[in-house]
Amino acid sequence: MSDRDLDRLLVERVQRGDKQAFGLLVTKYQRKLARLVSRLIWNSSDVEDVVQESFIRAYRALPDFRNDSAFYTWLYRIGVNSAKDWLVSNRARISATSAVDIEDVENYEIAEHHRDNDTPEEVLMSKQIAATVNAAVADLPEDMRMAVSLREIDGLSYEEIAEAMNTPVGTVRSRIFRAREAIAIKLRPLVSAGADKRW
Amino acid sequence: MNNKLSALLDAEHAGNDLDSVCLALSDVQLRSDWADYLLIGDALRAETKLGFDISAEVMAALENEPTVLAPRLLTTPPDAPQTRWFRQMTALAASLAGVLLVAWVTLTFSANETVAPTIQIASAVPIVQPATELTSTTSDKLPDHLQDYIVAHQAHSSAGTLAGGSRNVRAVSATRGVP
Repeated sequence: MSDRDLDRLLVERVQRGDKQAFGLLVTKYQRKLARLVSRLIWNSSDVEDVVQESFIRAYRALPDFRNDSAFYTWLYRIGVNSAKDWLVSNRARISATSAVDIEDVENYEIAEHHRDNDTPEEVLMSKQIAATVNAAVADLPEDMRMAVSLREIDGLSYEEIAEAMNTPVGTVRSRIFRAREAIAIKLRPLVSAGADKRW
Repeated sequence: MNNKLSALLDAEHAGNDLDSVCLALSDVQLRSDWADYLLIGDALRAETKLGFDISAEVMAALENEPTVLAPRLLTTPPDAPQTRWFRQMTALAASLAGVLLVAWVTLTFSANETVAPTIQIASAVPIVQPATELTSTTSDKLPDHLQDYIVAHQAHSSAGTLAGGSRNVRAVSATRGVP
């Protein structure tokens, strides 16, 4: 099963009235959507508003979503449209120097064109999270570190990882889970500060 | 449960894992673990905005939204090659039948147009019959100069046998026939 298939299953659950399943999709795509929107909108709190608006629009439009495209592609389109609407309604507040060629935004690579419009606190938080995770990964046993890296960084499936590491798929599944748990234990004190923002 | 959650995140879950995870989503700790696992992945891929989290706000806003209920999509399995071939042949046969129908209708109508005068004459026979009698009766009573005129111009008549006159007489007969 692919990531797209999982999204489809979650969308179908939401379409059958399971609102909680939408929470899994929100948590999964909120940062990606925020990165996309932040290429159009400068202010960090405005980005939050637009991302929230995008998810609400997506939820309302879900009955019409027919899985013809991937959920995230559809969601990104809603995100871009929400950002455009926000720019139109707040045109007076936007200076000419911050104008962006909206049509080109979606084609840009995030890493190359991302504008660092985060607040210093947000930048610091990102750095701390990254440092904590990287330190936790470095402390992992070799087999767990390799399994989680192959999955998260290289995007390999469990079967591919099993083949690469010459272990059963069940073992890969267990190693990745244990690696995540070990990292999460070190991460929790850091993210607990913003626990009220979490669903 | 977290083992299932981890596999679900990678879309490597077993058949009913999604159901059991979704049923347990009222557990705040489980939702937090889901968020942690996603955050770990983002951090390992060196992505930005790692502190961004508005999931609570979004879900709180959605509390006021009516629950989404969409009709379930009918998922049709992809066509087998035989079925696809049959569909194509059916479409081809339908197109051919359409062309033949149009051709038949066109030919029939154009044939009718050619035959129409014959039919008209044929059907007019009973009407013409008394009209002919009328003609003969009428022509008997024509003044001499008109009789001479008609005879003189008979050669110019399209039918050669006073067809023009016959047509006029037939019209008169038809008018009489109308109540």
